[in-house]
Amino acid sequence: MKLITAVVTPPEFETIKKALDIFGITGLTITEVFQRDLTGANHDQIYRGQRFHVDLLPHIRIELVTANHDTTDILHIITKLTSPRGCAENIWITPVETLTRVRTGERGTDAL
Amino acid sequence: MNPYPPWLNAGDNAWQLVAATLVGLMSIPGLAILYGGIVQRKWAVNTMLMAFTGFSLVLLVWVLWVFNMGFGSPLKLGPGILSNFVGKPAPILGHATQAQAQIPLLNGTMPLFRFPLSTLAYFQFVFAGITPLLFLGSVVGRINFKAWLIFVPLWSTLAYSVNAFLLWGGGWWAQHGSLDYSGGYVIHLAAGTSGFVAAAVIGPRLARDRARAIPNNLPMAAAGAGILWLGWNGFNGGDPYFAGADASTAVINTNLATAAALLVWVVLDMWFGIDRKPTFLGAVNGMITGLVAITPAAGYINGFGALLTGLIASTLVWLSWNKLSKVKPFSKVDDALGVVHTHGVAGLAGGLLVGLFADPSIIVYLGSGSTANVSYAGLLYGNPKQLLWQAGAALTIIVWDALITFLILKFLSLFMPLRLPNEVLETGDLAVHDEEAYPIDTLVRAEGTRPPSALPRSTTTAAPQTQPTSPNPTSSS
Repeated sequence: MKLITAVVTPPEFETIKKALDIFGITGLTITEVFQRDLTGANHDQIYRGQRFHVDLLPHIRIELVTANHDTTDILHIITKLTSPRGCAENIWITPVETLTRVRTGERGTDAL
Repeated sequence: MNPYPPWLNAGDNAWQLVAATLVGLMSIPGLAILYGGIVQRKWAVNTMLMAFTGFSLVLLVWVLWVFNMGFGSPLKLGPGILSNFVGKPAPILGHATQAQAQIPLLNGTMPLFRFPLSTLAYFQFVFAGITPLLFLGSVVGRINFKAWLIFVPLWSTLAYSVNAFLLWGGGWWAQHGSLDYSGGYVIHLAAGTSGFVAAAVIGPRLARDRARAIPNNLPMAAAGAGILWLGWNGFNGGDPYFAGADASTAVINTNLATAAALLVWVVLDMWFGIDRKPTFLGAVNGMITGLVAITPAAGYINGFGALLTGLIASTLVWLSWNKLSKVKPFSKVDDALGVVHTHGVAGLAGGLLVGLFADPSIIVYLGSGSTANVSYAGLLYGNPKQLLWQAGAALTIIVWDALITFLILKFLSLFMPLRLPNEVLETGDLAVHDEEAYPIDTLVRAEGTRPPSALPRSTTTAAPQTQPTSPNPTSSS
């Protein structure tokens, strides 16, 4: 099993969620995070004449655990729907030792 | 020495200034935070700024020319309605504003004013000022800020002046006996009509924004809504121009109709709403509907009439909001906050209901000697013509305001885009103003200051870095 972690923009997240839904991938966990913007599309805010620089922008971190044989497909879906913004580390995959569904006690891929 | 000219009554003047201030509070902060709280998080600053600038712009044109267009001597434009359509534009900036107030065409139809012209001008300004802020609700979330700054003074000059003159300045419809106690037509029907037309001409918000038009701060909306309700005591209570018995009638009628309308909306939501659940924003809609519907009627009808006005108007507007909004042309136009329903339909309903419920025993001004009491009768009291005059005035307002709004916006569109570009709409406040409603201080750094890590150890504060308070990035991009 693999844990796929992707950091995407909020609009991208909406389309990714819909696409994963279509492919039957319904289980996912998200966190609201801030990512250092590498594209230069960051912005300034001005309060009472003082300029403030903001280079951390709101993003959504998607985390989902999947069976090994689905990993490439899911990676493909997310990559296709993520605009090339220059962030190379948008998606990363880590091995998962085990998974337990607390309600039923199922283990491993049965718990997906 | 004496501070009071012989014609001035301290009580009347004091009440009129307090009433005017109450109405002013309905605009700022009332509408600014009601709308500012209901719109998406990314539009709160833009919405509040448009409210504050709109209010300011109207006051400037008001004292320079619009007041006299609404309440001055008639400008003879032609025969019939054109002879009493709008007043002659003139500034009110001189010392004459300390003299006794008067509305030339109303001399003899009401008691002489007991306060100075400045009081009348300011009292009438706060009504003129709130009207563009009301239809702001139709166009939030996409109107070009520059276009707003030009549209508001033009609209006050060409549309509001005519509305006010026709019904309050002694113009053609006032002469025929059409009634509008406090602005059911002049303000609310006008705002509903203009907002709807403006929303159609400017174009819709982003599809994604329409699909997720979630409010950013309901407690702030509650504060704004509460200020609107109680501010309405000045809105309707100030309109007899005297702190007399009719002002008291108007105030209690206003509150009665509003309470009834609010409760009707909540009950309708519970019985027939999408989820059969009572909602807070539904209650606010019901409240506004009641306030708007009683506005043209407040001091002309009795308590039964007020109660019925609240019940009927709230039912009608609930149907309009939930059913009419699904059919063309309402379904085609992105009236963001539904102003056409809660102000347009409610104002129209209230204005027509005056034609039914106006009670001749409710005395607006007492007669003296040979002159009779001033009061009005509706259809239910044997005067069916009143309903006709109400319908005629409503039609005039709808046609004129729709036309003027359309023409002004088409004219402005020759020089500037009326709608902000899509990429600006994606970001909202930050793209337009470089400000946002809920900035996160842990993520920003003042330009020109060194990052904290570069500071010598002795100058860094001992306070631990706090976690950012849960931001909601999904609605800010």
